[in-house]
Amino acid sequence: MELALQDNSLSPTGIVRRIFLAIYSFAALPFAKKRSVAKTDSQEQYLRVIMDKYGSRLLRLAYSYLHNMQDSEEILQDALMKLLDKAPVFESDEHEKAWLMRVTANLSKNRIEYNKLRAADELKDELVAEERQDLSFVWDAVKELPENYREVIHLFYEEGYQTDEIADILGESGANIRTRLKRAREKLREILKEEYDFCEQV
Amino acid sequence: MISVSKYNEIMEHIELTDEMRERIISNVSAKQKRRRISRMISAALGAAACIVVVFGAVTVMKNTDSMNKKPDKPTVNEQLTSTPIVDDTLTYGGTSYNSAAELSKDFGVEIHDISKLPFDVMNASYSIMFDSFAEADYYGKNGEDCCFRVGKDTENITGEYYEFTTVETEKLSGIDITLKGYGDSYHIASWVKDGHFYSVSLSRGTDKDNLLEIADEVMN
Repeated sequence: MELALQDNSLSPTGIVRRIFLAIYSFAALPFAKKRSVAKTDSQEQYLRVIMDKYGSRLLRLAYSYLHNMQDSEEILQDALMKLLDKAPVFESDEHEKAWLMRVTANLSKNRIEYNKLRAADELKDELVAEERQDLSFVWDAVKELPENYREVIHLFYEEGYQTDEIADILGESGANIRTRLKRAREKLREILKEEYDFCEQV
Repeated sequence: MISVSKYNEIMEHIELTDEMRERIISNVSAKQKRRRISRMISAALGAAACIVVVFGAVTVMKNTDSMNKKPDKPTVNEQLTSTPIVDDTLTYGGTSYNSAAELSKDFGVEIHDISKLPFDVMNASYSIMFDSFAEADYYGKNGEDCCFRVGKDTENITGEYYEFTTVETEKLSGIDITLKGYGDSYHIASWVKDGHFYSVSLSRGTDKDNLLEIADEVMN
């Protein structure tokens, strides 16, 4: 009994000590391992690189859904937050871009579904101010399309993705995307008539 | 049919401006900071709750022990008095030291302070974390910091999970040094020497020559 008491590891104090150490270690583990997250400067530089590469593209994609600059900026911000939180490993630049496109598309769709959108359409105002009636007419026509047609039009014509790549980004089948693209073109042709200039190649 | 559709022309009007970029960076950084604080508070509350439970258990044990007290045996209370529960050398997950020499002695790997850092060191701390790596942190007056780590073995203990745009390898005294950063701004140097993983990580980047100088100083 005397020996047992001298050995701290077997005494209640020793047990308490060990429990304390375990609690300290457990509580500190996420901070110790993710120390890099605390490095604001590295993080800022990483964000700058990502925004230089994809900022405008992501902003345009969000705008194609939301038609408002402030909402689109918030979506871009949320997409970057997701990038930092998830810290995914990308196999290539294309993979990185597709991941960001998918996240931006999903966040934009959620925003449409759950939030009241702001009414301002700065792009339309700008086109009107520039007296580009031809462009504002096309923009109005695109805006009239249902959301699932608009996203296909944007990814195909603006981003230059093929239909199978769009299918991967949106998590749908290639056939589905081709059908939607065809219907979206028909609808645009019907509205735009002689202003219609969307290339028909798939 | 024209080659560039009107839709592309319309979209060219939407550009990420410098003002938007700075606003987004500032907002993201602020949100990340708030999340970190919130996570730390949650972890601290969790740890505090555990401590309360442990103290409760100790009190019950103490009372039980007092009731069954025998004269030839020290009480739990006596043991608690003779052995402090909280050791002031403990940091979270590890043990802290006052100098690189102390750290080096306890960890068993030669570690000395870095003098060629790209900022004036105002404060430094030394610790052994999770019994798996030794860490020296140097802090500058403008918020810069440098984290120098040495592992027990060759496992990568850099703790940096960002995707860097610049990744290069240079040779120093026959050892491959991996350098990582963004463009010409280098943040991390890491290498393996004598069965130990070494890393030097700067919060603010420096040029390649300076980072190699630091690595050389650490190695020799």
